[in-house]
Amino acid sequence: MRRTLIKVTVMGILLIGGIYFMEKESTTLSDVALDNIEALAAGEGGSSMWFCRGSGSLDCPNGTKVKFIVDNYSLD
Amino acid sequence: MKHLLYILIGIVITKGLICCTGSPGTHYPRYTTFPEEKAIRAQIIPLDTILLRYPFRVAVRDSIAVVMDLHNMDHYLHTFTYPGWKHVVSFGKRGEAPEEMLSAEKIQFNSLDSLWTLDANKMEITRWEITPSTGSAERVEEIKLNKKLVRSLDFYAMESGFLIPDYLGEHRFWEVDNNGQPLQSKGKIPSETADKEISRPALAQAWRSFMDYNPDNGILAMATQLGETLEIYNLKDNTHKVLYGPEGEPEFKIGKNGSSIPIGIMGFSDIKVTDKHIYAVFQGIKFKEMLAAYQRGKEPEDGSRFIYVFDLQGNPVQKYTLDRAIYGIDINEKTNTIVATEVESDDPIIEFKI
Repeated sequence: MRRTLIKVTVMGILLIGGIYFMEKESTTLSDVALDNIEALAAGEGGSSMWFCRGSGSLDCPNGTKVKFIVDNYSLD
Repeated sequence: MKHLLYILIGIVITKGLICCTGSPGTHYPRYTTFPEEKAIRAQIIPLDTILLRYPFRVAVRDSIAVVMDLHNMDHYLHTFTYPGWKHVVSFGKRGEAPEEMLSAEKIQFNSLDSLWTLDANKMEITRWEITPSTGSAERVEEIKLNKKLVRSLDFYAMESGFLIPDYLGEHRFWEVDNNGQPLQSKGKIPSETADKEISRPALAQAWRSFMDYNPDNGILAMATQLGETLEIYNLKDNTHKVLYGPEGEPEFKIGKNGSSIPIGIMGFSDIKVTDKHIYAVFQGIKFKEMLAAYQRGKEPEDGSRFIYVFDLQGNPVQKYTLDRAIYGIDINEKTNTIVATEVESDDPIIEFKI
């Protein structure tokens, strides 16, 4: 019984620790992510995964103002 | 021993549930109707020579009106006499030279020597001085915004600095000093559905909001461009209220590169805080319908046909239904006049009497 309890306790601590670090990781932004966002805003994202069309008020990731933003070429 | 075991398992399960269910469980108040509703008709303002292609914002102070044209031919800003609407000067030249503008997000017109503009692509706030007698406008101050803010899409200029919405989704807005350095961040995105795993920058893009602040009553109001949510911060007593409309929070999906792709509806297009009220311009058209119209070869209407009025506590007061689709507004409660911009129209400036 004591061995089982020790095993469960260790597993529990590991689980809680794991969850703690997972949460911490998900709520902080790395410098790489920050650079990616800046690159997108500056329109240096390389091949586009999004597609912006028209003149409007929506903020296209390339820094222009557009009417539509879609993630494929369904408008063509 | 057994009890200890159960407690331990209980802690693990509870922690797991908190972590992974995602929903923060908050349910914000809803507005559904307005006690007063009224249809109002536009009065067209005849303009002389100036061609406005996409007049997005308008601001009137005393005898001068300034219009910001988002998709201009050569200048972002145009000054007119008011109420005569005679052209005075165009400035804020589009271009890549040091004193030219790459983009314009907003204008704030306090006085002739205090017209503020924000260029998000240059991450720069500029103060202009307009001299109507000589028909000129000069850049008198430039503030480079700190790189930490990444990309600023709106602002409010105060004596002590600026209020700027957060772009990364970790907070709601920043207090920034007069040199463009962030001092402190405040608030959080009031989503009812976003879980901790969601990309915060994508969430912030979806929750892109227009803001206005009234230093006399301390009310900062923010309205989302997608969906139908309003936030009211009282910066004097540090209280905060979130309001959801019938269309709820911004809907989006995350593109392959991590950016936010809007779905759902176009929401608010401008917001103004006066001494007693908050005016929010609301569109409410579904992207699905706009895309369908576009695919049928029709140009979907671009603009809002509703102005919602709330008191400073966020209680609905009045809903105006307009006969024209507008974008930006200027409110004068003394003369009961709303000046509005209409994009893609031969009559870009209109007025409503309320």
